[in-house]
Amino acid sequence: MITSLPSLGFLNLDRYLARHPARRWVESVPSRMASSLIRGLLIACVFAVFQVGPSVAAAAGEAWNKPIGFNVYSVATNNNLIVVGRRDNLVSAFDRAGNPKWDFTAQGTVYGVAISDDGSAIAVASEDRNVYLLDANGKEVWKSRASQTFTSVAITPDGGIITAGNQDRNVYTFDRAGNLLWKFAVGDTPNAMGIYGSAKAFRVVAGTRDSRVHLLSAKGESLWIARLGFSVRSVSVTNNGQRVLVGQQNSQVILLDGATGSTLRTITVPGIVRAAVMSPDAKTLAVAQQDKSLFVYDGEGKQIDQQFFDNDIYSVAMVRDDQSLLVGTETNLLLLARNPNGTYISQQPPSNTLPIVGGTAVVLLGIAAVLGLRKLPTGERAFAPAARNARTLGRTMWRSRISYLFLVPTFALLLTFNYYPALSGIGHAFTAWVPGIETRWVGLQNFQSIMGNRYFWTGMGNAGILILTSLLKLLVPLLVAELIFHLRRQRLQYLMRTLFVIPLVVPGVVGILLWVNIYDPNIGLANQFFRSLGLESWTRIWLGDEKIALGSILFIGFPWVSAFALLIFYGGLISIPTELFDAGQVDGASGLRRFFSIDIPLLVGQIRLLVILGFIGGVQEFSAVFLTTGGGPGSATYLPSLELYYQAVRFNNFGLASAMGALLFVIILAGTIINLRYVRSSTEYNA
Amino acid sequence: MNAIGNSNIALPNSAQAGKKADTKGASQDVVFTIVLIVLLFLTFIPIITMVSLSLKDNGQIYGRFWDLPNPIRWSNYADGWMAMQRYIINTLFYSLTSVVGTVLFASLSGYVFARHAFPGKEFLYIIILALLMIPGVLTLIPSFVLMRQLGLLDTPLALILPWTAGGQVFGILLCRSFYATLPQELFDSGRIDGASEFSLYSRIALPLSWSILMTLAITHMVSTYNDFIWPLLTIANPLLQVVTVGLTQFTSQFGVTDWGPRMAAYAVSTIPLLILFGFGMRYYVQGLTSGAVKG
Repeated sequence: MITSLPSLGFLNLDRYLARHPARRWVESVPSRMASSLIRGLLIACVFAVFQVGPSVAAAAGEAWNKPIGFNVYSVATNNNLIVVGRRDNLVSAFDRAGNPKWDFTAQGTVYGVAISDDGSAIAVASEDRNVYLLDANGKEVWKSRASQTFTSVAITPDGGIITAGNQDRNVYTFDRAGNLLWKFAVGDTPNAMGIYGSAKAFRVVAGTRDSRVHLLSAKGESLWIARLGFSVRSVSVTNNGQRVLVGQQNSQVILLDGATGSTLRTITVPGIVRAAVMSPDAKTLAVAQQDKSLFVYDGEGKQIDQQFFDNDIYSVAMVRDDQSLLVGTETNLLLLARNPNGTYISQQPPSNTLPIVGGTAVVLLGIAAVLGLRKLPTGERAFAPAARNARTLGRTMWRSRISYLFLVPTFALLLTFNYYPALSGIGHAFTAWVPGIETRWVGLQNFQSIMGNRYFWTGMGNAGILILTSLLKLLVPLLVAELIFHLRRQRLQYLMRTLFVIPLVVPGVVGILLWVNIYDPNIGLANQFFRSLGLESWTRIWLGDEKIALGSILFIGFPWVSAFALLIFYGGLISIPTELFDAGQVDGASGLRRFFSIDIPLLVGQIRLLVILGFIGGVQEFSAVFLTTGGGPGSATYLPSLELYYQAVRFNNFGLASAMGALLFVIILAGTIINLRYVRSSTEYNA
Repeated sequence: MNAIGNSNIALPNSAQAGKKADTKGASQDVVFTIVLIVLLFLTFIPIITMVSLSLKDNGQIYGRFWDLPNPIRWSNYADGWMAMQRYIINTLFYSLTSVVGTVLFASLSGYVFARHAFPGKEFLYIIILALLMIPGVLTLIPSFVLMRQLGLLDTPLALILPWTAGGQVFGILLCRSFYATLPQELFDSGRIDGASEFSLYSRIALPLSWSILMTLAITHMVSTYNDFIWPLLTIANPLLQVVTVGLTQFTSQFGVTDWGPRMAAYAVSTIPLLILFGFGMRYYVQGLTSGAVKG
């Protein structure tokens, strides 16, 4: 798991500091105060997090608000039945009053749902690369698999034709029986699909990531292409096909003429568009935005209403008969009933106290970390000489111009690719950031959003478990290093050491993929092994069962003889002076006694290095989960860096992702300081 | 740190073992060796599985899982190589370019920090060391956005430049400590002979540091070859993809769902590191065992 050597420098940093008077800083009183302050604040943060939950505000009238717990990526309705596609792989159906009807489980996140007018056909697009057709009771009628994730789906009102967009840049169109009628390459991922007409005569609308909208005929021929300015997030089309509403990933919603693809109207909204829908008569437009707001316009582009929510909005749909709005957020599904004057029954305002507490804690944590660092005497020393005679300084600097010249390539690279991103990451943690489109200061809103993000905190819990086990796993390389070191024959030592290092030739990713194979339910070694012993009942779906998936991931690499840790321990052992062992032998210390009294105290430096690297690696771990379960099943195996990756790559929440990065940075910094302090002061052996 | 320049590692202790301990020592060796062999076997299970499956066809895998491959399907390796060759060549090109840059800049800067005196030296050095405290997770997203703004996404430079920049930090540390141990007389005599500052570096310091630079080159090569999340973010074009990400896209890219060719592709992807460790393991092991990395 630890392959990146650059982090090794920690200990050289340490050694460097030790040579200078700086060393005292770790033991100094102010830093002790700082570290206990940090600890206190961490506890406060964790406490604050548990206080935050989805707020369930029961609104008046027909409106309701249902906690789902997982992101509602898509929602569709036929007036009676409401279906939602969820991040935790479920399709859930509700009746008009919000009572749950049934659930259907796909094998991946559900990105799109669509329902026919009579409710007898429900189409589902999923990350598991399938399109499903379900009946009115949520039973699977058929499914069809492609090579990549399906991003969106649409169905004709009579349920006769299903069309779906796939990340392989094709539009797939099926008939009711699941036969593929045609597929059409649109050049980039079709992120938003629409369809109108009936099984006999229909047309398909596809909005792509490269900012185009295609109209395709029933035979799969291109009728027109509208070239717009930004990536398309949603399309909504009237039943007669005369109007197409396009939500773009900037601040524009565009109404197109369905016959020609020409732009009829452009509405500029305050935030960045997530989803936009319109009523069948194209007279009411609802636009969900990335800043958690929902704006409603009339057909002329005049604003009728605006609503603000506690959570990110991912999907919106309109009930056709009374134009109520269904809104799918990060945690909830809401129905907003319409008032006679066209406005919607409003939400209770979000409570503001907890975000303030949490946000303050984060800021204080940051300040505490900075104060702690300023206590570094090396830091102070570095600044002091600068205040001396400026003129002499200038002359000396000119004389040393060659030295500076030699450093130019290094600093040019470091400034661009290391310092700038680090500062940018911290700065953008406080913004709503969609690069190239928007950078807006939002204060602590991102941190507030993290506080309520259950994926992140499930991930933190898992990362904690990961770190603890990775520390326990260090015992194995330590044992192996001891065994090798105590072999009497030099050649045997050399042979063993070499053999244990050989697995390093297998790239880390391959190592994980091999374990994915070992866990394969059918031909994986694990299940085959149990079957060959006649223990059929011990076989499992190792990575697909919520209860054991995390355990399976932790087991990867068994018996965990990390060549890296082994070499570090072994190097430590051979550098212990022989006299110590001899002296120990004279005193009768052998075997375990020697191990605990000589070896362990003299290996403290190595142990501390590996503990710190294990901690840093654990907080940032990504590929072990990304390559095995992708965070699933449900959210069982999420890790913080996985959520960070998804927030940036899937949802364009770069500000939020930066805030997560900054938070993890503070945790790593605090953890490292605490590590250094405790291990050093309690057990270090001074030779 | 000093030991890193020596080509053999001192192995003390057992020479002094007393004669009467010999029989006890021999039986202890046997027990230890058995434990080690068991652990070795367990460690190698995934690799054994890989090699075994990579030589089988579907019928053998599903029908006779525990049997040895028979007949041996060498054609899996042809498929695996076909799928991987592009990725391997790409990765070698990116990694080696970055290794050359890293070694060059790190040794130059390390040399300056070790042998030159100039105002602000310690300050500059400290702020380089401070980068060791910056975790990848903080810079990941901003770096990605920076690449997008520079128009470098989907180009080799998106990997080479950040890899080179990041690799320097550890390299400078390593090189400074090494160059600091060289005797000053070497450089004084060079100066008397009229050598320029650059040739002091290139003709005296560089040749003497061959071993430490090999260590740096190999560790950097291994870490870039293993990098996964950064190429995953920045490279989308299959023609430019690297091994680690290419492997995960194997199924969708080539429509191969059979385990045999897939395992062969995994095996093929280990070849570059196999060759690298074949001649350079010495340097890697020295780097870690010589005490260069300890408190």
